[in-house]
Amino acid sequence: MSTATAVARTDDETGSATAARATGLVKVYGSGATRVTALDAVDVRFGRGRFTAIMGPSGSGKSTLMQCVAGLDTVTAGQVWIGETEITGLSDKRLTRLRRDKIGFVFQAFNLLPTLTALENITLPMNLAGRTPDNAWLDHVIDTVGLADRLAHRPAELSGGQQQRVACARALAGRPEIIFADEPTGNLDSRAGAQVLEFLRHSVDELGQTIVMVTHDPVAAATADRVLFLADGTLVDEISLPAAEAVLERMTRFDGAGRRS
Amino acid sequence: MLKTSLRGFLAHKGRLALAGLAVVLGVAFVTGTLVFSETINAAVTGLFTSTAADVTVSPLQPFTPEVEDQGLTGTTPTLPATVVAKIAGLPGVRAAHGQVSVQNLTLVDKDDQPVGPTSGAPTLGQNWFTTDHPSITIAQGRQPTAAGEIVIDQASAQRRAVHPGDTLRVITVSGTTSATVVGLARFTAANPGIGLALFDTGTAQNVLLGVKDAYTAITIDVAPGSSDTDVQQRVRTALGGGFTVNTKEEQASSAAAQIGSFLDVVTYALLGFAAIALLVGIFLILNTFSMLVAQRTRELGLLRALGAGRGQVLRAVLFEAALLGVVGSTVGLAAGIGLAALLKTLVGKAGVDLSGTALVIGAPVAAAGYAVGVIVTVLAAWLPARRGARVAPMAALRGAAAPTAPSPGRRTLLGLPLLLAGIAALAATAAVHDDLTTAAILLGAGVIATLLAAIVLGPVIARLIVSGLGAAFPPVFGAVGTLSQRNAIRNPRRTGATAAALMIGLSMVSAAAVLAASLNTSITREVEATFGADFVVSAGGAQPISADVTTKVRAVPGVRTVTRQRYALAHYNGFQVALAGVDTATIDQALKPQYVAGSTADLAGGGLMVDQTTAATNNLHLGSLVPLTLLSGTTATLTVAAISKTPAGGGKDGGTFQVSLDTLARYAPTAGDVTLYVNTTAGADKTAVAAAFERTLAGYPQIRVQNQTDYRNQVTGQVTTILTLLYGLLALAILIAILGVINTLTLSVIERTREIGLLRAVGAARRQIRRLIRLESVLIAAHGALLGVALGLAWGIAGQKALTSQGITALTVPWTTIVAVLGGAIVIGLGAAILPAFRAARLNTLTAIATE
Repeated sequence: MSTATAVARTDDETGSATAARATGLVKVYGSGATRVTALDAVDVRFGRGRFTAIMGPSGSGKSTLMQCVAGLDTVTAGQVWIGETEITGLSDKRLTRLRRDKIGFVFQAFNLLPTLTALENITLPMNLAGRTPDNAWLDHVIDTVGLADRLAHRPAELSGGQQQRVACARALAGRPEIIFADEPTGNLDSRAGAQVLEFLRHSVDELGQTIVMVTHDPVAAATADRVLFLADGTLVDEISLPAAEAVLERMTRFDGAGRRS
Repeated sequence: MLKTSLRGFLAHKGRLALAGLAVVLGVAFVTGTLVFSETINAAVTGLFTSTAADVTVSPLQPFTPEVEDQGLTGTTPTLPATVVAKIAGLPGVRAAHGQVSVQNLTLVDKDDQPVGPTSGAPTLGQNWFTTDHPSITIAQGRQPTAAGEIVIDQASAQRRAVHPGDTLRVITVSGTTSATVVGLARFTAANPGIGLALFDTGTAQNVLLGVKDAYTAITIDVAPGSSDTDVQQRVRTALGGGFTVNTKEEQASSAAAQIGSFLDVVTYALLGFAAIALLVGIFLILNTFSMLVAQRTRELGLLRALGAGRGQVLRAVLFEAALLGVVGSTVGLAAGIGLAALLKTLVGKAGVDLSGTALVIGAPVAAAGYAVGVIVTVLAAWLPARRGARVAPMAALRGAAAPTAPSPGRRTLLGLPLLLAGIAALAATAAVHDDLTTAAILLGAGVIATLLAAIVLGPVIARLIVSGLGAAFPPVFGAVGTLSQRNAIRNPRRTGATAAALMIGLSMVSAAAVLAASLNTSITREVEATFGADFVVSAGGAQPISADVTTKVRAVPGVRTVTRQRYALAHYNGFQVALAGVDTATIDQALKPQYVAGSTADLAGGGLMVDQTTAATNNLHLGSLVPLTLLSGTTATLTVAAISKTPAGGGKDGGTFQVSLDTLARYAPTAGDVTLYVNTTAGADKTAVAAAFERTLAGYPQIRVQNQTDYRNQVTGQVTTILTLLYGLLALAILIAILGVINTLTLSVIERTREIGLLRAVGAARRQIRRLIRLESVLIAAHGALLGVALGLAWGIAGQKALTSQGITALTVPWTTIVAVLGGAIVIGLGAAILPAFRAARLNTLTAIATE
C-alpha cells in the first residue's frame, strides 16, 4: 500500500505551514536518584497537511514527546505551540478546550467509551463542546472509515480494527488542526493495521489532515511522509519519504548502539 | 492463602475504608446501647441497694404498676402503724421505722414557680427518720421536727435559689399547705435526679397520705449478729400474710427490675434501629467486595491457574472480610463505649447524675459487638466471595472482563411472585382489620415480602427506573447526561444494591410519616367530634391534681360545669388497665362519648363502659362480667353496660375502661382528680374565662389549662415528637446508605480511571467530569428514594388499615414529607458525589490512559 500512496507523499518540509512545534522541550520525571530525563532539549516542527511518524526504541521518549506536544502532559522546560497558540503555561481549562477543539487522538487501546455506541463515540468531543456536528462531513468521515452499518453498535460488539477505525473517525470528525496517534496499530493484526494506516494516509492526502503518529512498526512508519528518530530523549535522525526497509535498517542500528534499559 | 488474604486486605485498605466505617457505625450503635443500658441498670441497682434497709415490710400488692403510671394508682397502699410495734419487739430487730413515701406532690416557691427536677423526674415526699443506713443526710440546717417544717434536696434548692428560712407551698392531692425550709438534704449515694421533700412523720402522714397512723412501708435495721434472712423469717411469721417482706437485695432487685423492664423496652427499640443500620451496611459491604472481586478477576484467575481450589479462593476472600469485620468491630466497640460515655454525660446534664457509676463494659457486650460486626461482614461478603471462587483459571489469561451479571430472568422469577404475595398480604390487611393479630401478621408478612422483592427485583427495576429518570438527561446535559445515565445502569446489581440501602431507610421514614399523619388526622377528627368541653385542666400528665384546684376552677365566673375524671389502676386478664371514673351527669356535653351500645345513664347505674376493640379482643358483650383486680387487692366485678368506639391511639394502656365516679370511689376512695373538663355558661367570654383561670391558678404552676386547640396540639404534638425521634434513629441507617453511595461512586471512579482519562483527553472539562459523577449519583439516589417511597406508602397505607381498630380511622398521605424525601434524595445524591467527583476530576489524564 505504500506504493499506492507514495505518489502523494512529499518531502517538502519548508513549504508547508506549521501545525505544531516545540522548542527546547525538556521533560524530567522524578528527582534525586530516580531522576529520569525523558526529553532533553528537543526542537521539533510538524508541517500542516503532513503525516509524521515518530520512532525510537522503548524508553526513547517518543510517547512523552507526543504527550507533551498534544497538551496531555506538562513540560519541565521549553515551549510548545499548536497552530499559533502556545500551550505551555495554559490553564487546565483552556488546555482541555484546546484538546477538544483543535486536536484529535487515536490511542493504542481503550479508545472508546464502552457505554456509548460507535456514532456516539465519534461525536463525543463535539457533544462535550455542546456543538452540533456537521452532518455532511460526518457522513463523509463515516463513509471513509467504512463503518456506516456499525454505528449503533457498542465497542464490545466491534472488532479491534473496527474500534480503531471508530477512534480515527472520532479524531477526524471535529476537523482538528492536528491528530496525534499513539501506536494506533499496536494491538491489531496486520490486515486490520493496514486498513487503519491506509485510512490515516487517505485523510492526509484527501482531506489535508495533519497527523503525528508514534509507532515502533517500520511498516507503519513507512506510510508517513517523514520519520523522526528519537533516542535517549533527543532527536537523532530523520528520514523523508521513507521506505520500510530503510526505517528498519535505521532502527536496527539502535539495537546495536545499546538502547536504554 | 492466608498470607495472600492478608496482603490483599492491606493492599485494598483504602477501598475497604467505607465498608469498614459502616461496620464501625453499626457496632458502635449496638455496643453503645448495651453499655449504656447496663450502666443505667448498674446505677439503678446500686442506688436501690444503697438505699434499701436491711429488711423492708410493705403492703402486699397484687401487681406492680408500670413506672409511667405511678401517679394514677388511685390508692396508695398503706400499713397500719401498729405493725411497727409488732416488729420492733422481735429478736434481731434493732429498730423498725415507719416510712411514708409518695410521689404526688408539688413544691412551689414564692414566685409561684415549681421547685424540683426540671427533667420530669418526680419529687419524693417522705418522712424523716434516722436509721443505720441512711440514704439521705442533712447537708445544711436541721431535720424537720414539727408541722410546717420541710427539708428539700440541695439540687432543687440551688436551681430555684431556695434557702433555709424560705417558705414553700406544698401541693398534694388533698390540698395545699405551707412549710418553712429548715434544712437541705442530699443523697448519700448518686443522685438519681429526683427531688426530695422531707417532713416529720406526723406531717408526712397528714399531708402526704391523708391517713393518720399509717405508713407506706416499714424499714428494719437488723441488730448486729443477726442475719437479714432470719429477721425476714421472724417478721413473716409474726405478721402472717398480707405483707411483702424483702431483704435488702430482694428489695433492690425488685425495684431495679421495675425500672429495668422499662429500660429494656428502650434498649430493644434502639437495638432494632441498630439492626436496620446493619442491614443497610450489608449492602455497602456486599458492593465493596463485589467490586474488589471484579477488579481482581485476573489475580484470582492466576491463583486458580496456579492450583488454588475454589474453596481456597472463597476462604481467602472471606478471610479478608473477617479481618475487616474484626478491625471494624474493634473500632466500633471503642466508638460504642465513647457513645455510651457521651450519653452518660448527656443524661447527667438532664439531671440524672451517673458520675458515681463507671461505665459497665462486660465481656458479653464486647462479644456481641465482635459477633455482630464479623458475622455481618462475612455474611455480606459471601455472595461476592462465591462469585470470585467461580472465576475460571482462564480469566488470568484473558483480559479482566467484568463477570457477567446473572440473567434478569432468574431475579424476576424469584422476585415477582414475592412481590405479588407481599402486595396480596398488604391488601388483605385492609380486609381483616377487625382482628388485630391477624392484621399484624399479614402486615408483617407483607412488609417483609415486599422488601425482599424490592431487593431482589432492584437490579431489574433499576434498568427501567434509571432509564426513565435519566431520559431527560441527554437533551439537557448532552454527552455527559447520556454517559451518566448509562453508567448508572451499567452494573444493575451494583446500582440495585446501592439504591436498596437507601431504599430501606427511606421506606421506613415514609411509612412512619403516613402512619403519623393518619394518626394525627384521626386524633384531630376525634377531638373535633367528641370534645365538647371549652377547657381541659390537668397537671400535664398522668398525675392527679390537688383537690383545691377543682374547688377553685368551679368558682371561676363563667364556668357552668366541671366534669371530673379520675383513675385507678387495675389488672384485667393479666394486663394493667386504667379504670377511669367520670361525672356521669355532665360527661355527655364534655366528652360526647361515642357509644356503640348503651349510654351514660348505664354508667350512672353502676355499669362499665369498654371500647369496641377491648370488647372484641376479650369477647365482651353487654352484660358480660369483667373482674378487675385493684392495687389494694380488692376485686371489682363490673358488668359491661356500654360499648364505645375505640379512641385514636387506642386509649390509655391500649383500652378504655370507664365507670361513674361513684363506682370508682367504691374501689378507690382516695383517687384524686386527674383531668377536669370545663364547660362555660352560654355567652361567656372564653378569653375572659381563660384569663380568670390564669389568675386563679397562678399558685399552681404544675396545672395546665388548655382549650380545644391547645389540647389537640398537645396530643398531636406527642405524635410529632415520637416521629421526630424515629427519624433521628433512622438517620443512622440513611447515613450508612449515603456512605454506600459514596463508596459505590468512589470504587466506580477507580474502576473507570481509563474512561475518565479518555474523556479528559478528548476534551471533557473537569467540570463535566464532576457533573458526570454527580448525575450518576443523583440517579442512583433517586432510584432508591422512589423505591423507598413506593414501599413506604404501601406499608403506611396497609398499616393504617390494620390499625383502624386501634382508632387510626383516617388515612392521610403526607405529600409534603414524601416530596421532601424525594427532594432530599437528590440532595443526598449531590452530597454523596462531592468527593468521588472531585477525585475523578483530579485524575491525571495521562495515568488514566497509561493504566494497564
